[in-house]
Amino acid sequence: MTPLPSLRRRLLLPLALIGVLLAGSAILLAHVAFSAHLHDQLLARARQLADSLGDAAETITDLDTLQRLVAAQGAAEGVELLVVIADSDPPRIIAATRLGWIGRSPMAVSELGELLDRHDAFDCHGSHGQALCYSAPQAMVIGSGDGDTGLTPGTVLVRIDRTALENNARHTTLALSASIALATLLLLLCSARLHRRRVFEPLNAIRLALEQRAAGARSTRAPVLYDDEIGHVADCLNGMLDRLDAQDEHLQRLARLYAALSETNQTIVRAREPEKLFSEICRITTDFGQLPLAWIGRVDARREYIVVSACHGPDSDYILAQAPIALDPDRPEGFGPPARALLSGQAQISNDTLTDPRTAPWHARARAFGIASTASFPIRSGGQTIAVLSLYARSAHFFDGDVVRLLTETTEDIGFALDNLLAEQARAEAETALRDSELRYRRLFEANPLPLWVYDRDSQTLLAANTAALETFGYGQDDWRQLTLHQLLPADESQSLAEALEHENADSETVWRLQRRDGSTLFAEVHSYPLGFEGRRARLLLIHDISARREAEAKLEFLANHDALTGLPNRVLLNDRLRQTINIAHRHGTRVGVLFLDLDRFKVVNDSLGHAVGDRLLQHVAQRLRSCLRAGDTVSRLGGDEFVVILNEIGEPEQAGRVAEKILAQIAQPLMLEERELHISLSLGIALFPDDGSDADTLLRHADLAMYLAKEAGRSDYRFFTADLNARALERLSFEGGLRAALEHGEFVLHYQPQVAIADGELIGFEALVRWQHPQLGLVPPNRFIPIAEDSGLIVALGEWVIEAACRQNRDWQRQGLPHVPIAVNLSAVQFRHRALLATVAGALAESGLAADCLELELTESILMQADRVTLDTVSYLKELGVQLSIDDFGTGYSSLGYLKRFPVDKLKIDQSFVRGLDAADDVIVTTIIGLAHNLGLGVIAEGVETAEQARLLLELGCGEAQGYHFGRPLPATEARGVLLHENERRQLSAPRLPLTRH
Amino acid sequence: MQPTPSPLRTLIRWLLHASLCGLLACSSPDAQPLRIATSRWPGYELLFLADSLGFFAQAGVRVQLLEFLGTGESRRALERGRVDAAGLTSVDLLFAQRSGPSKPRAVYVIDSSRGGDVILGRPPADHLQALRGRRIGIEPASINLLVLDQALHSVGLDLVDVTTVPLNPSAMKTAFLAGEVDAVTSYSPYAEDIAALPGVVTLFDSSQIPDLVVDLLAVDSRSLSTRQADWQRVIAALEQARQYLLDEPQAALAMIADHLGIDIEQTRQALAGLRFIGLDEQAQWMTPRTGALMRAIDFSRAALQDVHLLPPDLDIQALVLPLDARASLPRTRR
Repeated sequence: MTPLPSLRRRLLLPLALIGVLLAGSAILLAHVAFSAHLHDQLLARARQLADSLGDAAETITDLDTLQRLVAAQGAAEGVELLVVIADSDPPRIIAATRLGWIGRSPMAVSELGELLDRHDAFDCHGSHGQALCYSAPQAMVIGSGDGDTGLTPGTVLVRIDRTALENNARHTTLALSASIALATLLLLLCSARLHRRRVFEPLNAIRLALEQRAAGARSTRAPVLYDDEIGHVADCLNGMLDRLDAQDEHLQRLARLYAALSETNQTIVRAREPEKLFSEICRITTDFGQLPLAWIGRVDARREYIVVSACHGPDSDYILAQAPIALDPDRPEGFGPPARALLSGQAQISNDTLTDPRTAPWHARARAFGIASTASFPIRSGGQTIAVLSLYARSAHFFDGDVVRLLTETTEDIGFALDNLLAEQARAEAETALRDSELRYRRLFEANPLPLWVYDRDSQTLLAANTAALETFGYGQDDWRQLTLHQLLPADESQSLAEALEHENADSETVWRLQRRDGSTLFAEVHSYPLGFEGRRARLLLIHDISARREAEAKLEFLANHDALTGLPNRVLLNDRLRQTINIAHRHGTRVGVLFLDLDRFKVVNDSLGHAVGDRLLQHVAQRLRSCLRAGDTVSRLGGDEFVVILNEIGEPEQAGRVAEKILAQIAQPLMLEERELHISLSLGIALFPDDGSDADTLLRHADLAMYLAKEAGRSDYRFFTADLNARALERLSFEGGLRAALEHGEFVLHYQPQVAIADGELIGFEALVRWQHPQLGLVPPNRFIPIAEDSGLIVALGEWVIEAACRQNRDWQRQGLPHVPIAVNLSAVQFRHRALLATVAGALAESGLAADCLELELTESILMQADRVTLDTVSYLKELGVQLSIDDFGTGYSSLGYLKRFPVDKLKIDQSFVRGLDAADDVIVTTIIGLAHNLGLGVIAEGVETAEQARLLLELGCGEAQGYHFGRPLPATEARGVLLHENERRQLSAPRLPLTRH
Repeated sequence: MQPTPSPLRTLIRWLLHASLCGLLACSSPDAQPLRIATSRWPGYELLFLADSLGFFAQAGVRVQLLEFLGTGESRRALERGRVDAAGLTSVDLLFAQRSGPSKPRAVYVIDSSRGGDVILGRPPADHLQALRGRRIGIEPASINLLVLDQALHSVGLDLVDVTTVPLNPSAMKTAFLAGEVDAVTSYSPYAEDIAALPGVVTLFDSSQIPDLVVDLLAVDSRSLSTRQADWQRVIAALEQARQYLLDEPQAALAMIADHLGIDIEQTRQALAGLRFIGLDEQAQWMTPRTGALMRAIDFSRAALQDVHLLPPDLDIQALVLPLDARASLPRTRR
């Protein structure tokens, strides 16, 4: 029993306090009353004592009697002192409670000291503490005590112990208080006991009963101990508990069904298939509702039968044996609750199945199964009743209002779930499609090789980027976030593009310069499309990098107007510039200088060192030219080794001349190429506007002519255009046209320059040199038509003719019995490379019948420089034919000497430039060449020997053979025959010396 | 009832306790002083000493001393219930049994008179033999009667041979002077006053009948039954006073002299006529039959019964109640 002291304390403690307060008040009042009256009582008593003694003294004459009276009175309670004093002279004590004082003077008694001078009542000290003293004058008969009588004044002194009386009063008060307290205590105890019995114990009993009830004791009822209010409360509580139990039973049933509903709802949420859902619902309903049977039947497609779709419970046989249920009104089952529910769409409740007429056909069966109530609920989906949920209970009236409501709700939920399942299927399909689509487009976006950006139009921040965009712009996977569009643009363009994009609402395509992370820029076609992106107003930017195209276009444009090798303006641009310059000069009245430049002997460089070196040489030349010119001047390369310089606004012709000198000087500086020091020069022709022509073509042509003049003048020089130059130019033009005709018309002739042994002047051979016997111009030297022939390709045919003619001539001479000497023929590079060369040589030899060793082919160093397989094969084949091979102009080329060992040549020909400069002081080159030839076992012959001194020196140096004017000019065939004849004679005359004549 | 004491229950218990204490306090010795009647006799000055020196208070008992003219008046006050106890002689004790509800009991032997009680006469009654037919003043129903009786018997006379005149002790001198009596039976300090008169001779004194004149403290049997412990304290205080008298005789003499209203020499003589009985001797004195007190009482009884002043069936042993007061003595007692 757990006490609940709080209520007791709260009820009884105040009661106790009230009692204590009342008792205390009573005690206090009593004490105050006693205290107030004590003094009065004492005083009254003192007066009474004094008065009675005084009265006695007035009548009593016997002092013993008086003393006896005093003693008697003094024995009264509280009386401490009684003294009767006769005021005789001297005063004396005639009676006292102290026998020893009698007869004495009161003054002599110390204890009376404080009493004598006072009158009436006053507080004094007693033998036991506080006392009341009273002094009263009296008349008394006893005088001095000597026997005489008569009234004499006296005094009666009384002292009453206050302490005793006060103690007495206090004890009385205390006794009274104790009585009151005791009475109060008893009352309190009675009250407490009453409370306990009539209030706390009944309440506690009720509480205990309720606690037991709360702990689960269902049958517990609150005890009714007394027929009072609390008993009534207990009675009411019991009634309430009875009702609660009844409701509890109902609620538990509902709770089970609610649990079923809850689980049904969970099942509905989880269910993916209607059949499974039905099965689960049947199971849940029977399990939770503790029902013998629950089943769900679906109506078939033709709505003729109810087919059991799901069934659960121990009494499953009840329905399975009857299924399917026909919806035929003519048959009994057509009227059963399931059929009615299905057909009417309303729940069919039969709470007393065994007596319900609607279920009459199944009464026996239901009784057998112990089924007392049934209910069928329609399940609606898609707007019509498609199934019915039927439930069976063992107790009648199971399906009351709450249960029916609950089950109706459940079936509605099932219908809703069925609708949802259909919708869910559709939604899942749509979601899959959407996901696929999303994935597809994401792939399209992510894997797109074109950079793609998505940016927010409002905040200008970038929202998405694909890999290509990040790679193109140099950002990492994450560090592009928080970028704004402006950071993709160079500072000078960002505003304009942003604005442009901002004002566009449709698709657009523009070309912009964009900026990578590292600051470099790129040109791109930016395709912009409006795009909703995560609810934002965004645009998709498709970046098509057209930098390469742009570059190519620029390059193309550049190439169209510039020489690819040197980067200088080409002929097209030159013409354009020249025309502009002329126009300007025309307006300003100033001159324009056109300088036509051609590198001297560039062909040699190109042939001997290769095209690569030649190209680099050209680049250097271009660079040097640019360095010589003013900013406004133009230098262009026309092609090959030809350059044109346009000088703007020059005043005097000399100005152009000074520029030309400057260019010549600059070009003359040695140039290091391939670790080789090259000395190059150029020839320069100048034409002036308006002096030498008023249009670009004329000026260029005239400058070209002037250049030729300079070249003819000995190279590394410049010439101004003059009128007669024009004529020579015309000649050249006519050469070009006449060369082919000349070949056809046999206008070419061969001249033969003798080659002799220096020592004895023996003719050792001829060099065949082609001449053009022009009908109008007369004999044209080769340097004036060979280049043209090379340019036009006629050189091959011309060379073929030369070989054939030389072979034929030599054979003729040999047949005439003239000495057999070889005739050397020059092979141009073009000819050497021509595939017909071998056939030509072989054919010429075969046709003429000339021995091969009587034909000598002169190759240039540049030919052999092309040390490829073709060259090697050609040379080898020629050698196999037995043809003599020599290297012409040896020493002027720039190639290494390594090829001499590889090619089976027979002879070196020292270039005339070395021979011409040969003197005693400087013979290093010639000596070297001669030494080289000797070392390699080759023959050596010097060209261009013009003096006897040169011949002597050559001989001294070891070169035994020579050709040149000193030994004989090129001679027509007839004159050459004379030489041969002479040689023949000389040989026959044991080699008489051939006179050295100059032709 | 609750198994555990609640605050309320504690409060109730406390109130109950307080109430009971209050009721007990009503009958506590503190509430009422013990009133003891005395008269002028040196032996009773022991009470005065104890009161004046505060021995009663020290012993824890309040005492009020009331002075009467003689032991007879003291006895009457006791009989009337005016006082709780009185200093009496054995004769007074016996007389006190006759009337009233007090039925006093002797609890303490104060002293034994050894000359304090005298018979004084003057010529012609100047010897005992001469008392025949003479008027002799005696305090009625007092020890004077026994003294006179013993004195007369010592010379072959009897009470009937003389004429007794009842007088208060204080009145004897005046009557003697007035010639109203020929001899008086008196005791200190009245006796010294009378003996000082010219021609007065002592005819007999109590030293001649040792231990027959005994003064004792007689207590109302009702008070004795309710406040026995207080009476033990009173006895202890008396023993303390007796010790004081032995230890500080000068101071004690001065105090007694002042109280009796006589000079110190007279006081010394008065005290010489008696012997205080110590606490150690009390039991011996009160031993039934053989104790001196018992013999004195028995002697008095016999005397009084002879003259038919007492009923014959008086059980004298019941008159004595020895109280062992030793436990109430202060620790410093020697």
